[in-house]
Parts: sequence; structure tokens; C-alpha cells
Amino acid sequence: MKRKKHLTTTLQHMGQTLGLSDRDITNAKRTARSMLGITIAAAVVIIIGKIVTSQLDAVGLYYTGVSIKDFGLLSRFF
Amino acid sequence: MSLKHIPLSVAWELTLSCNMRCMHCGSSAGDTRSQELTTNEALNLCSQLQELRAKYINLTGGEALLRKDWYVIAKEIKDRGMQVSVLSNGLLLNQKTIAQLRSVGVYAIAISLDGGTAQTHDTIRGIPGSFEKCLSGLEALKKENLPATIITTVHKGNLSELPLIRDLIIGKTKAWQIQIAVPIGRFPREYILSKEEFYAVALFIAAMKKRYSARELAVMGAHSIGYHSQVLRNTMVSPVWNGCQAGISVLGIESDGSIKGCLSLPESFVEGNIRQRPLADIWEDPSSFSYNRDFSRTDLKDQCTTCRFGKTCKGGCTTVSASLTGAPHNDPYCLYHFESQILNSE
Repeated sequence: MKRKKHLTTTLQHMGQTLGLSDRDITNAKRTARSMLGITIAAAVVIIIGKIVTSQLDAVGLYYTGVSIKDFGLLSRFF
Repeated sequence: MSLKHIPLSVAWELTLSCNMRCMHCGSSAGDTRSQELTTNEALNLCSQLQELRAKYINLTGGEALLRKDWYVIAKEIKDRGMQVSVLSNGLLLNQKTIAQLRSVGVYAIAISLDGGTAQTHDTIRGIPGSFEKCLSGLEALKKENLPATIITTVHKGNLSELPLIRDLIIGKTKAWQIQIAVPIGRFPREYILSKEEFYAVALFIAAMKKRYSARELAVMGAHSIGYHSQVLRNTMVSPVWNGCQAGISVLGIESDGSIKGCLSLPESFVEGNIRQRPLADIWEDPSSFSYNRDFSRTDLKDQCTTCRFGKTCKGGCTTVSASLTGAPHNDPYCLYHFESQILNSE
């Protein structure tokens, strides 16, 4: 409990410099629901990657580009 | 051609020539690089990329639009069935270039915006008036219904202006990529974010991803921002982080034909030059990109050696790790590691 409070206080302190409200801080934290969502999304990316590139060594499985140059590829999963 | 790896995403520096002098530029862009590829060599490279089954080609610089034949190269890429995007500082966006971008059918035009005020942006970019030019370019792209995106490189000089930048671009852009500046090129080391500031940026991205839908403003952390947080929502565009993709699904091409796994990497990571060997030879060479292709857990260093994500994470972003520690597989700007420190400090 003490650790959780310490974490929240630290995040609130950090967020203040960037204009984040307490609600923003709460929303920024991951939840069981968001973790489930990301797990499903990851599975979709991996499965589609495997299907699309099945003739290869599962490039799709490895593919995890994270910038705008990859946006065209990954935005379809939003 | 049977390929073990495919360069799905390629960053191609068309020229090192630049009409700005940004303080954080990792390439120290300004003058043209010695012996840049000719038009014919560039067109031939398009054919080689097609042969390697490259999918997304990101034309960058320097300032990509300064190269007189950028349109010819972009069109060749598109005609060969690959997708093309252009990264620009916005200074050369005018009716003619916007018409050309439309004609090519780019999937994204990424504009660099580094300040929420003219004073900050112009100081960072070294060109008075560039802020207004950038915003008017963004408006023009929006008016033409072209897919504009924004890239912001964060350091101590502009960190506090992230909310201002957000307010400026909301409704005018498809996506906002936020990345941190690292000490490569002419970026002054004293301006790099502290780890706490770095974490604050990730916190900001996570909050904005929740506040706005991907259709309103797709906010994403790039390079080292995002992997394995145990506290924050995902800050990346991808739902998973399987380690640096340089030389695996990502390729970087310098304007003189030098090949790297990722364009951001230091010069010591050049694997060859297409003037000496065909691109496929360099890409398929078993000794190429060994830092990633032959990675094993024993390559991890310092804080990463005992990390439970080490095997798949590979120690984070190679560029950040190499620029800050001199070696890959040891990215000190790691959310997971920082969280461990926060949680253990109480």
C-alpha cells in the first residue's frame, strides 16, 4: 500500500511538469482490461504476421517497428 | 530469392544536405555528403529494394525535398509496388511539392515540430520563421487531405512544451511520434533528458493515448520509449516489443549508398556500400548485422544482464544504447528498469 502510494505520488509529481491531471495519471496506468487488450492485439499482430509471411521465417512474428515509418503497416490494427 | 529476413521498413537518407541546422540532428546535416548517389544509382537501388521485398520506404535527409530528383525516386518506389513516405522539416512545402506528394501517393508526410512556440522551435531549428512555415505547411497538407504526421524530438530545451505542441496539432495530423534526442551528431550531451524526465515523457504519451482515440490523434513513443513498463499502458504503436529490429526487418541507407541496420545508428555500424556490393549481398551476408541477428543473452550488459525480458528485448534500442554507453544491448533509458528503481526506493 505504501509502495503504491509512493508510486502514485511520484507519477503525479512527474506529470505536473507536463500539465497532466490526477485523472490523466490514473488513465496512464495500465489496468487488467488494458493488459488483456494489448495481449489480444499482440496475438493478432503475431498471427497475421505469421500468415502473411508464412513463406518466410516468421518475419511478422519478429516485426515490432515502433515509429511513423511503420505507421502505415500497423495502423490497420488500431 | 529466399530470404531469412526482409527489410519491411527502410529509412533512406536521400541527401545529407539540409536547409536547417537543428541542435539535435544526429546526422549533423547541412552540407551534401561526399559522393551521394546519382539519380541512376538511386533508381537502381529502388529495383534492389523491390528484389529484397521491402515494403515501406521512408525518404528522409538532411532535407529529402532538397534533392532535385526526390520526386522521380519516390515515384519509382511507388511504381515498383512499395509504399513511400517522406520526412521533411516543412520549409519546402509549397503548392508544387504538395502536388507532387499527392501525385506520388505517399502514405505519410512526417513533419518535424520541436516547439510549442516560435521561439523554441526556431531556436532549436536554427531558422527564424520556421515555426510559422511548419504550421502553414501542416495546414496546407490538411487542406489537401494528405496524411500529415508530426515528429517531435524531446530534450531539456522543449520538454515542457509537449502540451503546447499537442494543442497546436490536434485535429491537423493523423499521428504524433515522440522520441528522445540522444548524443549523436551535434546534439549537446547536456541537453539530454534525465531518466526521470524520460519517464515523464512516457507518462505523457500513455495519458494522451488514453485521452485521444487513434482516429483523433495517434500518439506513439518511438525508439526507446515504451518497452516492458509494469505501470503504464502501452506507449508504442506496436503492442509488443521484441527487441531492436535493425538488420532484421529494418534497414537504413545513407545518401552515399552506405548500408546500416537502422539509419540512426553511428557510422561504426555501416555494413557495406551498394557501390561495392549489391544490396542483397550485404543484406544476406551471414556476418552482417551480427549485433542483432546473432544476439544471445550473454551479449547483454550492465543493468540488462539479469533482466527477465533480456532475451527478447535484447537490451533495448541499439542507437540509444550505443550512443550513451558505447555498446548495444544496454539501453539505460528503460521504463522497466526505472520503475524497479522507483518501486525499490521506498
